[in-house]
Amino acid sequence: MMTIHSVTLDDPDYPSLLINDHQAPAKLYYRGSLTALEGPRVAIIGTRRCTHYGRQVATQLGLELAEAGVAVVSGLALGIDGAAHTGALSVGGAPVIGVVGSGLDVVYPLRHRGLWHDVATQGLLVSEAPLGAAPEPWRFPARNRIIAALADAVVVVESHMAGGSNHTVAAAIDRSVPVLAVPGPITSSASAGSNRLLVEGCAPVTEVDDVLMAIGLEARGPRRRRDRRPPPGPAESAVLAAIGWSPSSLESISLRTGTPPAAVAVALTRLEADGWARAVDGWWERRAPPP
Amino acid sequence: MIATVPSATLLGVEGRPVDVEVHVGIGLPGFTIVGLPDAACRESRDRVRAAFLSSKLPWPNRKVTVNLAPSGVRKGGAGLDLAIAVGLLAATGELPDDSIQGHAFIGELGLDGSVRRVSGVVAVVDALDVATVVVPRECTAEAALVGRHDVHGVGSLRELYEVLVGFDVWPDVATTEVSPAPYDGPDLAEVRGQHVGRWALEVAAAGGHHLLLIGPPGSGKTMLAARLPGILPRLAPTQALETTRIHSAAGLAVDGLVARPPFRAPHHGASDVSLIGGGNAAMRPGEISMAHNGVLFMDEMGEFARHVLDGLRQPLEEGVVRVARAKATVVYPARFLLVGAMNPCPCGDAAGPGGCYCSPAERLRYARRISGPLLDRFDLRVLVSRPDVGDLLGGAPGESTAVVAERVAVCRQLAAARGAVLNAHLTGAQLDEFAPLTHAAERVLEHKLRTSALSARGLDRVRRVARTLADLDGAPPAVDEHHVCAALELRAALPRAEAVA
Repeated sequence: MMTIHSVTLDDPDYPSLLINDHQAPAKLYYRGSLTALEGPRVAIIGTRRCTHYGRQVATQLGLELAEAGVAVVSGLALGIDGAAHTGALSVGGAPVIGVVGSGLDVVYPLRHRGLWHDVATQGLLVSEAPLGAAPEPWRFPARNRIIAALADAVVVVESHMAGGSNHTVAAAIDRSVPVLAVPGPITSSASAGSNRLLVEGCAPVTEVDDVLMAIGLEARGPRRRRDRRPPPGPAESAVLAAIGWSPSSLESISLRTGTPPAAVAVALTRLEADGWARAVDGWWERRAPPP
Repeated sequence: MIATVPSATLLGVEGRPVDVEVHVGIGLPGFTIVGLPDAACRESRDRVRAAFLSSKLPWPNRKVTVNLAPSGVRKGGAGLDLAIAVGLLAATGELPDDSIQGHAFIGELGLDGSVRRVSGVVAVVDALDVATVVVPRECTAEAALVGRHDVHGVGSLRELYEVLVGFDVWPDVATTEVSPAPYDGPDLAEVRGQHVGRWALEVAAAGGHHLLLIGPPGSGKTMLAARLPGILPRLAPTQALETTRIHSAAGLAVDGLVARPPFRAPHHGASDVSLIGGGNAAMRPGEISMAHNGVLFMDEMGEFARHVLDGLRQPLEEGVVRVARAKATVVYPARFLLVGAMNPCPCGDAAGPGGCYCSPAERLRYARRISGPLLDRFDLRVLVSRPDVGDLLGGAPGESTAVVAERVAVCRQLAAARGAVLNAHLTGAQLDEFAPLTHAAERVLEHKLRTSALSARGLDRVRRVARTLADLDGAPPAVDEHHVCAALELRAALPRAEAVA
């Protein structure tokens, strides 16, 4: 059995990611190494009642993100959570981060006993629940906020209209963490929630590059198709990120980047010339790489 | 016994000289005014008589005939009262003939013998070709603006009489300048957020570029536009004269000289005649002429009738409007800064792209209300969105009108030093001379032209705006890349004809 550590808010080891969170856990229990939090992190979340499609996508995303050096954050639950971690653990590329609702000595769900152990050894397993705490239902929404707080972006793979993912999404939005969703069949109840997110303007994930770009990493590109567009400079990247995934006006981009409109205009013109963004009637939107 | 006194009345924007001939002869006592006087003019008979008696001047009990020459032109208003009274005094021998030599008189008489102000004094005085002009005391400063005459102000008929017969001297001409009334309109500091809108407003004012604001209802388009006159510089004396004349001709209450740029905001139900000028009986300047040297704000531009909007095209290009009617053709000055405001689509589209519930056909119809040629005349087209909540509640107030006005004034002086009135009026040749492009700026424009994102005419417009932006940015001799980029971005917005993905 591995040792279980704990840090409190006033501890110097307390993760800096959480310290400024407005709902930071007062005390955090963890197994593994806190260094897992240092690289880029993406949360992959979704329903326990997933479809084959969802499981496949979650596994693949987890794998490809890990290959790209991104730590996958998830809740170790059945379904999507587990699939994502399974995929991430299948390559030794990056640490994985598990955030659970029960005490760290109470393995839940039991079926994920092996995964539980693997996550703790290859990455980090955290919980705010005291040792011995049972997986009571109310602990999971609370757990979800930590997932959102730890992630650079949240990807919803599959979720039902009323599901636990909604808590994570709300917590992410609350923290200005970008939320992405994987489109699913409109006839599938398991995709109703994630499709709803897309309808509401959430950025879609059709491949891992979409996620990588959302957290400001270079798209993995070359494997399937090369993005021949010249990479945007730092100022342009910030503007590109500020455009987000919905059409934005000059005013809103300027507000989001905190840059005067004149400077934003220069960046936008460059982005447009290089094919990263385009303007329609004054509204700016990002462009997909040319096929 | 006959006396002729020069005076003038107002016709349209211009003053027309009128010679007031007074004949006092034998016959039944009576008083007749001929020469196409209107009602106010004809009633001057009673005012003059009462004023004489109140001023203890002798009233001739003889036949008095007043002719207003040229007799074929209609005369209006009460401004000839004073000239009639003086003519009468001269004709009855109360005044020596030489005392009124080279004098013209303008003013309305009160029954107590006081001399009251008349409107349109500037234009009226300007029409007079005499050495000395006597006007109501309140109008002295206004009349002096013309600058070609000796101007004397009088307060009453008795006072004037005493001076003319030599008992008294002319009262001191009130040399007080028309006091430069400080700007007291709405202040730009009240506009929260709206960084792009404020920026566009400043550029519009600095370079005289027409501005189209596109945004959902409640986003502050009107609020921004109403603050434009405040950041425009005060009118130069000649401009002020022009505008004052137009206002008095249009029957607006002209209260002294129009020293600040006028702000006209006609309702979107306006007819083409009310906007452009005309009418059948009396040719009257339209809203665009009343906005001469100022701002014409057209709120809800998409709701104006299309032929009304297209009537703006010629004046926008030429700075004057030629109104031709069967009876007369009149040229009204109409050089104004056009500010349009409209919603992106009929539903207002408060939710931003994707949130609109208009059908594509409805959107297209709305966008087409403003024809391409008119749209093209807007150098600046920007999106105005609802301000950020943080800005609304306790955000730091933006720059005040005074601060921005100062920068605008500097920029306008730069343009004037180049020999162009405003950057928006720079010709192609002047652009090459005064707004050369740096290599980087050239590349940006070249790319835009190659991808057909910019037309040849659009190119010149972008270069003019870029010049203004450069002027606001320390006035480097050459226009740089970021000026061009900003200029392009400031004319990007359009009403949404098609859905944004």
